[in-house]
Amino acid sequence: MVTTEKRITSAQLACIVFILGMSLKMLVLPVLLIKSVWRDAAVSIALILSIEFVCLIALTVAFIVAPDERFPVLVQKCFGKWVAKVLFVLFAVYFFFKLILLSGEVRIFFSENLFADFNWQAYSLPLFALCAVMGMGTARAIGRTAQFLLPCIVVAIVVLLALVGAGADLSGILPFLEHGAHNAMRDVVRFSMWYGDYSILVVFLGSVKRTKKTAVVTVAAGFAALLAVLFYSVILISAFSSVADYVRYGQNVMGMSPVMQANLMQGRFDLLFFCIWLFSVFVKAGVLSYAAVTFLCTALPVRQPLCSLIFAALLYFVTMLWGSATGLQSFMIETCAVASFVFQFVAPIVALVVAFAGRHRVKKQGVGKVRAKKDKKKDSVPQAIPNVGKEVGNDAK
Amino acid sequence: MLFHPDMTDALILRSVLMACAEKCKADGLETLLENILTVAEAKTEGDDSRAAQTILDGDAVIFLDDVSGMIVVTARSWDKRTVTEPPTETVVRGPREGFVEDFKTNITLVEKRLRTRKLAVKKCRMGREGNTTVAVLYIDGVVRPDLVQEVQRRLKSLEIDAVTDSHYLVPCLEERPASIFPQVGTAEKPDVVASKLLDGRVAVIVDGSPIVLTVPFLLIEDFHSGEDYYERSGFATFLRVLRLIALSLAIFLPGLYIALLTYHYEAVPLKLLITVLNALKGIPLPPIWEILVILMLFEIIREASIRMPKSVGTAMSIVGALVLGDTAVKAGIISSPGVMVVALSSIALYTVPGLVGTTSLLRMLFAVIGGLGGLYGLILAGTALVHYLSSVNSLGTPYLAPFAPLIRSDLGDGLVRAQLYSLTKRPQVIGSPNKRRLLWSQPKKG
Amino acid sequence: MTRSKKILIYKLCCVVFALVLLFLPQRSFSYGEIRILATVLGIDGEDGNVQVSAQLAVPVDQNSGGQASTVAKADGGSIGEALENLEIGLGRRVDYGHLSSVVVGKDTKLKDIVKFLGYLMSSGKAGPGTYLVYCSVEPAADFIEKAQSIGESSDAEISSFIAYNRSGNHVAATGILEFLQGMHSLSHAAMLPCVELEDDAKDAAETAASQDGQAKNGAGDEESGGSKNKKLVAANVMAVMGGEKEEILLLDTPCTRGIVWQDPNSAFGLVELHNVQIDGRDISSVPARLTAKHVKRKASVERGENVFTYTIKIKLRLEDAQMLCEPICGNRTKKALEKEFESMVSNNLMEAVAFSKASGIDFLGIRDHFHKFCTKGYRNFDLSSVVVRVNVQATIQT
Repeated sequence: MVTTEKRITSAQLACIVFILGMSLKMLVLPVLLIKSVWRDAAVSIALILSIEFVCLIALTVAFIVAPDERFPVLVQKCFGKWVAKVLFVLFAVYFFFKLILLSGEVRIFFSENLFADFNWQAYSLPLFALCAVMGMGTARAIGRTAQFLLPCIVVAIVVLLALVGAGADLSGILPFLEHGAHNAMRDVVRFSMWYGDYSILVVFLGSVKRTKKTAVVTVAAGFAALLAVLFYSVILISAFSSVADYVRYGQNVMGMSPVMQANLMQGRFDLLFFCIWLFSVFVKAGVLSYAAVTFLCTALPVRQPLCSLIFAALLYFVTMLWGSATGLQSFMIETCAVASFVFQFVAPIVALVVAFAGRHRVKKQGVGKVRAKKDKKKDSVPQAIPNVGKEVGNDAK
Repeated sequence: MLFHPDMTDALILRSVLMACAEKCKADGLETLLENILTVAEAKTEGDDSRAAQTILDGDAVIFLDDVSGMIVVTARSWDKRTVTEPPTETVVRGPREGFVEDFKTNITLVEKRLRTRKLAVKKCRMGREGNTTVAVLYIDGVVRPDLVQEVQRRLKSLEIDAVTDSHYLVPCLEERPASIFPQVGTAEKPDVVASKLLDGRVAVIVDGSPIVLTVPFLLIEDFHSGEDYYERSGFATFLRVLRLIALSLAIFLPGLYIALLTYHYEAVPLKLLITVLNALKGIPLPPIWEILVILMLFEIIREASIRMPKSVGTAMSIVGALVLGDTAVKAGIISSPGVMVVALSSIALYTVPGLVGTTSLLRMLFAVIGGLGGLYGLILAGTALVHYLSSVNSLGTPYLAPFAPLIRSDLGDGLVRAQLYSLTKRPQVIGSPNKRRLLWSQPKKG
Repeated sequence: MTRSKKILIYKLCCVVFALVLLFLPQRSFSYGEIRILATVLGIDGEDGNVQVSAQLAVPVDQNSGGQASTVAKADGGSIGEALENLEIGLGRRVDYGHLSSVVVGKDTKLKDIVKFLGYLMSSGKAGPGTYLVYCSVEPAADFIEKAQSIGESSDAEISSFIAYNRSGNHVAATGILEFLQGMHSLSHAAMLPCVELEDDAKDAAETAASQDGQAKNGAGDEESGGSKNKKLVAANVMAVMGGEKEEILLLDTPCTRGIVWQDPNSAFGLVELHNVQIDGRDISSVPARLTAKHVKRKASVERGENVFTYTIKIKLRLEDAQMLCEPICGNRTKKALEKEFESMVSNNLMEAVAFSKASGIDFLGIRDHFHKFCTKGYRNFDLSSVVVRVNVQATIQT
């Protein structure tokens, strides 16, 4: 029977990291921060990105250190079956609410920018259907999806960078912290549901084909995402720092290009490139769904496809509880903020603990390989037979 | 001697009979065989029960009284098509031989190009009533043994009345037979099949079918043409990129047109928008229905042009083009931008002939999605499509390789066609145990 | 769950989704109405009595020969209401995706302008980059109507005109976001370029001569001949507003040029020296084309005084290169010309600064600059006492 590698490669992990680090934070978060703290939103966003980057580094260490066992198995062996179940349910709930938030952001973006009438009752169905499908899938399929779409996303970012970056005046964010740092710091906690996306990576722990470059490419991808978010956010904040009352919820880097001033008659092609960038948002939705469903299936005796369908149906019905997207945002800010802020540190801490505990256990048992030092092959094709044998040289024509 | 009068060569049989008559005091089958072998190809067969099948295959059988066993004389003779250029894989440069319906001719065409003892041809019979000969070809030492075993296992697991064409075997070789995406490659040219065998793939030849199947199959192969390897690398790369662009246009253009004109006016330049809106003014159908109607019309014209007799083909094509196209536009039933969009999409469809059916369905689907969901629907559908393709494997090989998973060493023959002599290794994605296929040291200048 | 069941569920979901979409009220074939495109919007009046006018690109049947663009007007108690009434009057939805210019009419008050523009931007009808111009001689509605009548196509002549001037000429342009930024900054001031329809005297004379023989045809011809003799121009004035003043002030030509010199976005176009003396020769005009401009602004405190320094570097290419052809005195001439250009730029900018100080309207954004880059100076900021220095370096490319 021909089998294929079920794990994702380091390159795919880096693609997922880049997408997770960038997608949700470039939709509505900068506008919310602007409306809250005006020009100090730049400081808030810098702090947010720094916190995320630290969490990413912690998770990367966990990836390198952990033995070749999947995260649910590691947690169960480390904490015991029932504690693990509770932890998985908490993870699933966290990802569930993040997915609801993501759907709300998507709703705001499309209803404000692209559609005159955007009936969310109908249009949310395909989004949640996609979440259900991706939730039923494998990590390998998600990794490949992210890897395949990444060039399109990167091209869109580069084009937007060229359109928006030329002639951008960033002085609008000055002076920093004119009224103190309290509000900026407060917003870092209030908007915690909008970040902490790297905690999703725990679901891939033990499912990555590690090489010597895994850590480097993962951190580099996270850093690139950080720079992209920071750059675009600063442009937006700089432009609207003094006119925060007029900025729409759907406002983002689209339409900020000074080039577009002369080219409004030529069509909004920046809009088309931003829509290509939106692939990253939908991939992230799929990753969130996959992560939540995986944890739920581990915690509860339900098979993955059925669990995914129920999850998607629940997403739909819970989302409909909020008549407006701003109501949802208020809920996330007022109710979920503190818990989310704490939880995003819990994920990397748990990952580190189980990784080191697993490594220690494996070393004690002396079984298997802890590090992928000897796995010197580059990220490559899944091999049905791991050892492909010697080269025959010039025998073949 | 027993034979089928319509499937045997009378000359051969006459020669055999004369050879038999000369030695009428033949002593056993072996002695008779020696005589017959001077005039025809023959062998002994111990199992008498196979006589009926042998006669149905077109061979003649000779029994001797009181002797068990029989002699099988190869005397097949029936009308077969000459080896010509296949209609679906025409090239400007390169070989123009194509497979035919005759099994032996097809095997010979491949063996002509791979004159190595390592070329294995494993024959089997499939079909309760058809007893069709099916051969699995591979190069020993180049192919993965488990791949061959898997192919043979899947073929053996099929119980069917008859295999009248190679396409009957496709579902059992695919992991997702219901998918609109092909997961088994097809080829009508022996040079293409030979190249694929050298990559480490397995080919399946079916008696009576000019289409040879190859597995594993990657999506990128549909963007390749045999001619790519007979052109210069720069031009070949350009053609592959062009095919990709054309296919993207074919799938997304109708949906994008509908989405922009229904929901997103701002994305279209003003002058172009006004020109298009002027053309749409007075059209009774909204853009989505208009495009769907034109797409259906196109599909009807295309299907009819394939089926209709050649004698009326030209006249009906004119009717189709003029009446349905030009007159309908002038009557204000459909708009000229709509016709232009569908025409461009339809022409672009044929740059990748292997995916015509798939693309036709996809563009209709994306047209509906664009009309219902605008850019939101298109992006969502695009994500879903990529996710679907990412989850497909062809006999253990990722369908989107070498892009997802990214295999750098195989990118030289992906969208880009690197210099031939730089393609020193077989595709890593196939997993051939014999990696190197070429070694060339460029001679020093001077 | 088996694969066939999964596939069945997918198909059912697709069918359900399609049915939901098809039968939703919003999907009830409202598609069919092609939306009208607004390309220019004009605003007149005040809050409580707002008049809006819009130049609209109307799709017409290619065979009908109807007009491709039209101007529509509507009133309302607020700008939102006026825009709604515009759609009601037209009987169609108006698409603002191609709205490229907003014209503010004469007599519109500053606070109303800010309010109206704020509404347009926050409602998404106008993007941040939408051009903003001020019509100083007549209401926006009349101006748009006349401008539309001289246009050749359904394009917005005004927008094309502004876009071209911004990129090709040495003229400042302002967008809605820039304007609002200026008004809400600590400088609390902004400026708008003015546009007007200028009589083309030469054309008018020719038309009048040809019409002598046709005087009996009546006044209608004269009127139609008169409207054809107007052309769209960027007036050499800018409107500035802000500070403590409610009214809008118009700058004269030198001040306007001064503002344009310190605008880093206006880096091309023709600039001229008038009535200069070079090497003992009197030259009436020296035209040169601006090829590059770099503007730096620096706020500092020197000896207890707030000092604001402009450093402007410009590169010019003479239209009449003959002036520099002589090898011996060409270089001397070049230096003299460069000095003259530097002097002109400096004088223009200083005039603008002087006007700003005199009127108390900080349209150059000096206060805001101090707030961002020199907090120490900002604490004791007084516009009238800021020392402004202008360092210009002109290079004539040969």
